[in-house]
Amino acid sequence: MNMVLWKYRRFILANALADLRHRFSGSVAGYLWNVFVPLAQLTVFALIFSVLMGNRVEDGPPGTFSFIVYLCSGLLAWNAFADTLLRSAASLVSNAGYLRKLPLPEQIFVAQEATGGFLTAGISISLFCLFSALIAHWGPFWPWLEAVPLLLLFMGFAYGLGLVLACLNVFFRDVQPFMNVMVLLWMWLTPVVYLEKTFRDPHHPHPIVVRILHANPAYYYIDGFHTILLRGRWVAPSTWGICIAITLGFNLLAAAVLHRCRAEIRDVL
Amino acid sequence: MTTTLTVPLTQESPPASAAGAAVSVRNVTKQFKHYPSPGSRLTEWLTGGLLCRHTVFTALDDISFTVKKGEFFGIIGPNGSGKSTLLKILTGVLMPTQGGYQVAGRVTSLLELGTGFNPELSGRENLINSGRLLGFEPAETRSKLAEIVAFAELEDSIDVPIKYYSTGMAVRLAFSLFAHVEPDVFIVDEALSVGDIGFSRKCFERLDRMRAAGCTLLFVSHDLAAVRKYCDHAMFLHHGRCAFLGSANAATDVYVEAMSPGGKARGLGLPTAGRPGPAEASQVQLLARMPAGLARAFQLGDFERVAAARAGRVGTGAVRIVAVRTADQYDQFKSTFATGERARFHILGLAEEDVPHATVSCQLVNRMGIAVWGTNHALRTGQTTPVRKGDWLHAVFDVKLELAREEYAIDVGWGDAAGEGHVFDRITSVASVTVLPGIHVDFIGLARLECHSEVGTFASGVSASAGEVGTVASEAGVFAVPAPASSVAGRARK
Repeated sequence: MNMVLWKYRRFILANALADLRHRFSGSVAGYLWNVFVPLAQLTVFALIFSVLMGNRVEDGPPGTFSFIVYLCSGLLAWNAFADTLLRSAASLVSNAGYLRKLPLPEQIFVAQEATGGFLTAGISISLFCLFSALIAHWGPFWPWLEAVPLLLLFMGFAYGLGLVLACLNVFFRDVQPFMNVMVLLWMWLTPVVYLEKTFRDPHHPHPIVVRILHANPAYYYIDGFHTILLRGRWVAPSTWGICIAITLGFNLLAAAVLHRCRAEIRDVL
Repeated sequence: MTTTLTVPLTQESPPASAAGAAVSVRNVTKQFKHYPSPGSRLTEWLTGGLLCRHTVFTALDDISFTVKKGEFFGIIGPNGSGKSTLLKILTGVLMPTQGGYQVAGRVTSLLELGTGFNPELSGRENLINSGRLLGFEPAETRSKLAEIVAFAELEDSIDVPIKYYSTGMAVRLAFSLFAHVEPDVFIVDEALSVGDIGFSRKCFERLDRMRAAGCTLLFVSHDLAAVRKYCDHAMFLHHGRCAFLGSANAATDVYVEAMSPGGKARGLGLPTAGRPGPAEASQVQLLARMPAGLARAFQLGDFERVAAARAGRVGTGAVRIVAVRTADQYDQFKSTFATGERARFHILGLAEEDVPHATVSCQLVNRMGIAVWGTNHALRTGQTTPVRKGDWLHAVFDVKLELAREEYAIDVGWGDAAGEGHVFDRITSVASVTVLPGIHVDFIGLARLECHSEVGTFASGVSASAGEVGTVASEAGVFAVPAPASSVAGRARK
């Protein structure tokens, strides 16, 4: 299965790049929307959580930029994950034109979305690192380099889950609207915009909420990004282990689902 | 070039089992599941198939054939007969439910021209993109770009976004890209007739070159003329079954015959000769009562054709039409002819009463309902035939079909006189013939009227040394009298 992806690597990469370039084609601002949208989102979250609610981060940079650095360190990766998931779910249906006529393997269209997600997040995280080091005077840190393999694993997870969803979406178009709701819910089940310590407050402990957060597979990746980007520390081997296991597990699941549905996917499309 | 191709669209597979076979298909069956609603699929899935909610539609039923290397193989059949499904299986887009197939070497399909063209991108960018889909490095496509663009005759608009192209332009671009891929097995599904005449001729010339290079072609088309001209063998698919497999000429004949208004499309795939039904039984009896010479001239199908023509039959019934046959000059059944070819229409009548005068008529009607030609034996010869009850009447019209490419319905009838008079039995559209263009089409319009043409050039007159002589371009004498020495006369006789 990975052999297939390797065989089509050029196609995947070229399409992912073309997609980023053409996603906003026809608009005046063009590819600038790739930057505007996350920037606007970050501003809103920063206003609400930092300025209005006065959230402060202890293990990050001191001062005004503290919460912004926290937000970026988790949200940039999360956005790429959520976006990849939603686009992957729709990818087989939206590429039906190809699949109906060419003997292309299904998974390359999902891989293309995951590659796009990796590129977007890679660029935005790099920009964030520049911002952190130059403007917030936080870093650079060597552990930042670990963001690359972690992002790869995270997008690998998005690819696995996205492929399963994409297969199901061929048969039941309900998957797409359902995922729109699920991803929103999932974001609030992951500590990306609020702080986990809110639920660890010794005066008002929420042990159940903490347990739910830890049952969420995305938590470990986001925790990893916080460790790397916010705290400037190396990710613990146990977190690496969990992340690798989740990515691998979902990829195996995806391979099994695709193998089972493949013939029928072509018939239905 | 071929060795550097990395993938897609094309599938590498071990050589087909039969020696020299480029494509071998064994017992391929394809079934589709039809669910009444997405919900019913969910019900079936959740119950593990316990509650079966789907119906099975068989698109292909036990298809087997072999195409030799370098052979051009046609697949014909009406819409919905399974042609595209078969090609999709061979290209790997669909998977067969049962059976298997092998393709030796690389397959490239032209299933739908311009698949993957992005309307926002220019022709050039799309070529590179599609090349990538075909497994070409962009550099490799670029090196062939000039050739491809020149072939498509799109030098002026290659940098314009595809959305501004006409359908014909997009098709030309796609075909020239595919034509330059040079695969081992090339699959073409309806397409080549889209461009203008000049371009489709170029496409066919390209196909000729590919054949010379040992390329195998699977050709799906409704263009029977092209199938006859280019294919060695052909398969006639009908309702997902192989109704006929053999030479391209025979296959197109069977197809046209089966699809003609009075044809026996109903029973195709199951040769009717086997076990005659009740209606056919009476035809068999009729055949048995006939004189031996006549019985040899007609076949069961000729009777069926008449028996099947219920609508549009009028007359007193004094002489009944019992069989109609379209045949070649050796009286072998034939329904597809080239322009200018001789056809023989046999009409068999049986007298139910004594009649003093009987004559027969025959006409060809095109799709627009225009009778392009028709005649009556009495009109031609001034003679009618007296017949007694129980007599057989065998009429033959020997016609040179100098007609444009089209399908023509045949109306036949028996009556007592040409024009006004009693009609004994008249059937419209009892049979049909298809006229296909010959190799060289030299006319337009409905009919190829006998024609002589000539061009003379004359000096501009001032020097007038031989001018006076040259102007003699009289009508009758022109072919007998040698052209004047001073004029260059081109002369053609058809």
